[in-house]
Amino acid sequence: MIKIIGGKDTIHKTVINNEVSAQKVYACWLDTIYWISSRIKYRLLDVAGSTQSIYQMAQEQVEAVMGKRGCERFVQHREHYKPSRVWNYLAQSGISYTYCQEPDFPQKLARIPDPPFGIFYKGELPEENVPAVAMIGARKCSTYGRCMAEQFAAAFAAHEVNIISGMAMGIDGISQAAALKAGGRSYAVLGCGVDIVYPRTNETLYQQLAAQGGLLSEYPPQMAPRSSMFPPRNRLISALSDVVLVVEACEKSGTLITVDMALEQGREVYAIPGRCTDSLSMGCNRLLRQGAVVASAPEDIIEDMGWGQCHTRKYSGKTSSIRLLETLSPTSQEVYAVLDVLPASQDGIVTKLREKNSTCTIPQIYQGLVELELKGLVMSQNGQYRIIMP
Amino acid sequence: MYSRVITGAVSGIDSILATVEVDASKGMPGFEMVGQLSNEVREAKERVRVALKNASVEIPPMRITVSISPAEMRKESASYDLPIAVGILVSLGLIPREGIQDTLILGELGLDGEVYSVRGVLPIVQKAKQERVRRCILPLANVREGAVIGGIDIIGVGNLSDTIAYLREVEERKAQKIAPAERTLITHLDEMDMDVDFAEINGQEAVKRAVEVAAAGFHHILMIGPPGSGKTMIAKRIPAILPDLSMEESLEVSTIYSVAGQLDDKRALITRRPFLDPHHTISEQALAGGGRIPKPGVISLAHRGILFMDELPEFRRNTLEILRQPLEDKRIHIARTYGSFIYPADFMLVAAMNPCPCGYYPDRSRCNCSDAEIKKYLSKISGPILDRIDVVTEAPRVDIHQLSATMQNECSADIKARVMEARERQKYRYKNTAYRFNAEIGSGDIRTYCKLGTGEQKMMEEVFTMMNLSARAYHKVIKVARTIADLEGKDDICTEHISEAVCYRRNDKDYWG
Repeated sequence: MIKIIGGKDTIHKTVINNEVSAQKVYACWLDTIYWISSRIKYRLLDVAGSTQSIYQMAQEQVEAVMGKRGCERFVQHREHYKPSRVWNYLAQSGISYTYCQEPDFPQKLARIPDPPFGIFYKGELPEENVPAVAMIGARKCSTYGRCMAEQFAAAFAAHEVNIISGMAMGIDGISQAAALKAGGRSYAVLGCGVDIVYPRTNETLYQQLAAQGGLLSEYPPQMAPRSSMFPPRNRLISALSDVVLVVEACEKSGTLITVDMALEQGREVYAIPGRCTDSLSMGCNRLLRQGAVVASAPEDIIEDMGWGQCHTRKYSGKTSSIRLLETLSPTSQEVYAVLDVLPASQDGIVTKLREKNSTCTIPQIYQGLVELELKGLVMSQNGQYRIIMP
Repeated sequence: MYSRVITGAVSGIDSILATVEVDASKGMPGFEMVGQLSNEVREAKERVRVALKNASVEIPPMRITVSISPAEMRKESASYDLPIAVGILVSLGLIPREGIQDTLILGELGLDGEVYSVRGVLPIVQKAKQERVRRCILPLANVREGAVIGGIDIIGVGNLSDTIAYLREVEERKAQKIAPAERTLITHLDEMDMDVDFAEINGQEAVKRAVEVAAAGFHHILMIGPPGSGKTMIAKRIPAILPDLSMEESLEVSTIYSVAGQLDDKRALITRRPFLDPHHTISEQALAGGGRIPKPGVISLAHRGILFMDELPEFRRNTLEILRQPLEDKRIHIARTYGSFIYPADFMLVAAMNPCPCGYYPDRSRCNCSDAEIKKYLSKISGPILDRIDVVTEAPRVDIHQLSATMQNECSADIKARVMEARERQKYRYKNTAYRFNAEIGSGDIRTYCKLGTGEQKMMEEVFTMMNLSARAYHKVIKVARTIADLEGKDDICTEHISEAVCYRRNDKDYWG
């Protein structure tokens, strides 16, 4: 339930100060009734004509739309919570709101089969004409998934493509964090109230998103996450984006719900291929078999969508790193040659070098690794080393 | 008549010479014992009486008083039985007074007069030699242990009758009766030491190298890896690459084992580095030592050797925290009801653990642990413990081809030769100091012993910034680099040594952030 702070009826003052139409305040009030589905809200709007009239609707009319039980709850709610209190609470908590009749309501959201009635948000709403990619995937991701998510997100950020995701653990959070780190903008659609940080471990990301993008939700503030709330929110993730990119997914994954929604909404679906033996790539590989587009590099998507020219960037980066490599010791070059974007353990690197009949001793290999790391060509994660993509 | 017999007692790891005084005089017949005695010493009364009877010695009805001094020390152990019996016999005039001159007597008695083995013989004999005692009469089972010291006659007795016969003999003919035990250095071979070799381990080259470095500088080491990656196999082989114990060290270790009652006829002297692998359910007492009658714990038994803790996070937190003091001070201080004791505990900690509860992280195709679970698992190892571990290495899963392949791997002897050389260099460097190994250098002396050139200094700065190291970690990297330089036979630490040391720090930072 919504807790409302501050009591006085100050609706007019608020309206004048923030130039907010009374209609928006009433819409906001209506949207905090979480148990009314957005479809019914739209029907109420049809019947009443404006949101203010919904608030003032006669019982019989309400009953005609929502049935007897629904009507009782509606009337009860109307007696307990005044629109002004709801609005003041939002203003105090730094939460903004917009709904379907406002000009700033994202058109991408309005045009889907089951549009939300309104959106609560922190930070900003995504800009209408900026291209956006939804990056989604497994919560328990592999290191491969992590690397891919970071690499793609950073590339999109560099091309000023927004990243839309769900701020969940794993791929979602990693992609968004990587995009923000690269200086891009990212928007999270939450499956709970926008003032709730879920999962808690993403607290830092949450703060960053509020500053460098936005947090969106169709659920009212203070609403705790529930498993049933996530599938509907997935439709908003795909709705807000032009392309849905599946980074890593198991055979039976919640990610695939988003893909279904995306197809229904007519969004492009891309998937990053994986090895056919990896259980975490099963979902992606299956999508590819069903007709999703192979995303082998972020540049592919950018070019396909006509968002920019990537040729110059792609190659200039590589040559500079090759030039840097040539200044390194022979051992470092040898070590670099066996490294991959897939992380390898120290021992794995040794084994690979041995397979190539290299005569490097272990101390030499370590020296090479540290040199590469200091030069910023290689990074280490969980004791495993991988190449940083130029 | 009054008599005085020298015996010995163990207090903590030290021993003292005690005196058993016996007075047999006319009066109301009785047997009194004084001198802060525990139950088992009190019970000596009955054992001695019956044992004497069974050795065909008739005790006349007299008032017998036994006093064991020093009185302020609590006496616990049955080793006073034999000295009490001998004391009574001297008081009764059945053994000549000269027979027990400068003679230390130890032993527990059975009712049939048999002499049983006792614990703590080694330190007691050592003490006796210092106090210029000429001869020790010990239970047969402890003879080899006592004979290790040398320069003192060790007489082994099997039963009370033999003892009486020996003591009654005139000095010149005593040696014919029972010859003093010869000082033979019995090499005790642990069964596990000899039949395992590093040559049997395929792959895991990086871990093997890390272990070599750790062994050379006596650095504590932590191996992280999935189940079945060979962590335990490698740990079991570490004793084989450590230098043999010197005689001095061997006596030191044997003393602890003697006090713990773990030396016997078959194993009179510990000549191999101890290897102890306590199960993770071990209690705090068993690990640290103590108990009502204080005994050294597992960490003290691992003195100068290896304490292997497999599945480190599975140990109870409290148990792990006990390691803090020993890891820092190389000894443990235990205070109990009957006094406080200091046991040495200078061991090399070899720890092994899985990276997450299921063991397969970061292999996400097998690991299904959530990030929170992994974090919780890792957090069982507290920062202070982790801080004291110099080398952290990762043991990845070995693939089947490697396991089944017949490979030419380096054998333990070759690795040991390199370790020995590194140790020699350390011995030379620290010859006038209390340090023995690189791992022990205090932060104040790092500048003295681990000089860095300008290039190396610059590299340390770069690494320091890149990895965001703490001051302690910084020192550890330098210490490990020193050991690596020693292994390579270099006097100066070079960038390559620092690089390698950094890689051993890397893992710990990556897991614990």
